[in-house]
Amino acid sequence: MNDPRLIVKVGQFSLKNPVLTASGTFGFAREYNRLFPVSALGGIAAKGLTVQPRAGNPPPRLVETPSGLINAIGLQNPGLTAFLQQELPFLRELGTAVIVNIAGFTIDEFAHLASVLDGETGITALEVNISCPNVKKGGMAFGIHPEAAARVTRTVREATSLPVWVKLSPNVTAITEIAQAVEEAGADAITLINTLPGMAIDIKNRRPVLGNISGGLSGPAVKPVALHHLWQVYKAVKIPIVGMGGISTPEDALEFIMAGATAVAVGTAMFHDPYTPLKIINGLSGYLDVEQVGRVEDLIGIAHKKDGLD
Amino acid sequence: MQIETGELINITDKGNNLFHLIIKADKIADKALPGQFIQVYCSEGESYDPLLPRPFSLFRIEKEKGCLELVFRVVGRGTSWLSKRHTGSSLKLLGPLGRGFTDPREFSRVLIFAGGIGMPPLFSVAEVSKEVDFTLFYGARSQGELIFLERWQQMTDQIFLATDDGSAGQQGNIVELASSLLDSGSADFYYACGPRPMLKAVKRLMAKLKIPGELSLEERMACGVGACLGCVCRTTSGYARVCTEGPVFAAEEVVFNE
Ligand SMILES: Cc1cc2nc3c(=O)[nH]c(=O)nc-3n(C[C@H](O)[C@H](O)[C@H](O)COP(=O)(O)OP(=O)(O)OC[C@H]3O[C@@H](n4cnc5c(N)ncnc54)[C@H](O)[C@@H]3O)c2cc1C
Ligand SMILES: Cc1cc2nc3c(=O)[nH]c(=O)nc-3n(C[C@H](O)[C@H](O)[C@H](O)COP(=O)(O)O)c2cc1C
Ligand code: FES
Repeated sequence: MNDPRLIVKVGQFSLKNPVLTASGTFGFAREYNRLFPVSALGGIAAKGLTVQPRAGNPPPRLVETPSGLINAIGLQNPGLTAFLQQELPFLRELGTAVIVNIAGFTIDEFAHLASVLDGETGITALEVNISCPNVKKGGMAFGIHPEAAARVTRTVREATSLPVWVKLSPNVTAITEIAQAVEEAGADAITLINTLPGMAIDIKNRRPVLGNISGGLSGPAVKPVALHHLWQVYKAVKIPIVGMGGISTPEDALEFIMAGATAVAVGTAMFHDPYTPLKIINGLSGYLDVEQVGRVEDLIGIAHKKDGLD
Repeated sequence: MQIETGELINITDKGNNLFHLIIKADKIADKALPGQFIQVYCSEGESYDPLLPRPFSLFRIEKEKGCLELVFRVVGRGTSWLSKRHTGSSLKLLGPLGRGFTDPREFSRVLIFAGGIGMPPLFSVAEVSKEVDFTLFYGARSQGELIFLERWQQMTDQIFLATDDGSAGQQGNIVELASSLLDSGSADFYYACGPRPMLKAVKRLMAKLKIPGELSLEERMACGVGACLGCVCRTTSGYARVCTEGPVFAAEEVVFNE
């Protein structure tokens, strides 16, 4: 499984392979670590973390749609203190890259999260969530204006020496402007996409299905949208991009890599098949064999080159 | 908890859109306990639709044979797909999941409240209650939906039925029926599974009679293993994951808001 051809560099550090899990779909890795060795993955992104514990949104929080899932979890998490005491010690021992996803409701909260986590060992990078559609204030508001996105990025950058990844929202008119703004503000990498707003109505009860009324759509249904955002952002920035949104197969992952992703993350597909990330890792090695490509890094952004294979 | 490819040994149409499955799945059967559930992946091969697995309670756990039995009602795409499987087909399963019922052998007299398709998990707990004196209250919309009655009759002769249309047992619901028959000395524990309004009424009645018990709940699920936080219900200590802290909860912990 340890195929050196799959090693990718995201900024300063290397991942053993380009396959991560997406924040919020993998908890703090405990559950899926009982089904397979999480150490086989390139890395994991932990559930979105806030300064204070959060109870999350009222149920129902999930609704399935054609090849998709709408969730309105509402950033339920144990808060920073409990994370440091109960979850981080476990994450440190996983044997894979640990991405801590942070969400603030104010700029100060982002700064606080970043500076406290800066003092901790075992964290590979911070993923700054400025794109959560499921909380009333903060969350996505920081992700839809280039200046606000840059301000959050700069604040986190100044508060920590850890690599800073900024997670972008697809719910914007010009994603490239946001991407350039966070790059300029010091982001080491961009991750995209977070979920798209969506809803469903229960025609028996004549009410929205979700307790929160609306939620975020993910899964195979959003893949083409994610890929297009990635394509545009790749052209607009120089920093590495971690792509996600509906990735479910090795072929999906290859599409993202060819569109410009240095690494990919698997989210909703975990629910369809918990072994998805392992299958993608194997599938990538298989593709390199069959297509006689030296390293997966040789494929990053290759679809942008005019002289593709005929 | 693990992923196992089970083999469908038998599928029976029980009428009224109800189906009974016997699945050979040694590893899950070996670990499973009454009240726990499994997720069944209801799509084939490359298909991503339906995307999510479907949760089902265990109707019977036959450890010696390595078999699990499910009883389900066809209500949508996943259950419709499952109802069309043939003997010999393989089914991808994840389980056993969640926290099951307290062992009934800890009690001397037990009440069981089954509402409609909430019956299956209660059958598995009744099967380990053979030494225990138990009474079943079983309700459904009509007679045809009261299934496996013969099998229940083999385990106890204290069975009280109710149907919405009066086609079997008393017309009305089992909670009204139970409240006319029970007092605080009737039992020292109860188990209930069924629609929310029924569970709420059972809980209220049992609280009045000061009999403790457990409720098995349902909520929409994605991962089934505790990772996504999608399946929470309200409890006295905040939101709890039905797939992990449940599906069985102590009745006094469950908060009904309706
Ligand atoms: C712990 C647990 C145990 C269960 N045990 C049984 C059982 O023994 N027998 C049985 O017939 N049913 C049981 N159910 C309900 C069963 O899971 C649903 O009927 C089934 O998921 C419906 O899927 P569908 O594709 O046919 O319906 P659709 O309506 O097409 O499903 C759409 C989505 O809604 C979800 N959903 C729909 N109804 C329910 C429901 N009542 N509870 C949870 N999710 C739902 C589905 O899983 C799916 O994600 C149980 C549910 C849970 C949570
Ligand atoms: C149940 C669920 C919870 C999520 N929670 C978070 C979160 O806490 N923080 C975050 O940045 N993204 C969260 N996301 C978004 C995912 O990380 C990912 O960006 C998105 O789902 C698209 O990828 P996918 O289609 O592979 O799931 C969540 C997604 C789902 C489905
Ligand atoms: S279904 Fe994911 S936490 Fe329960």
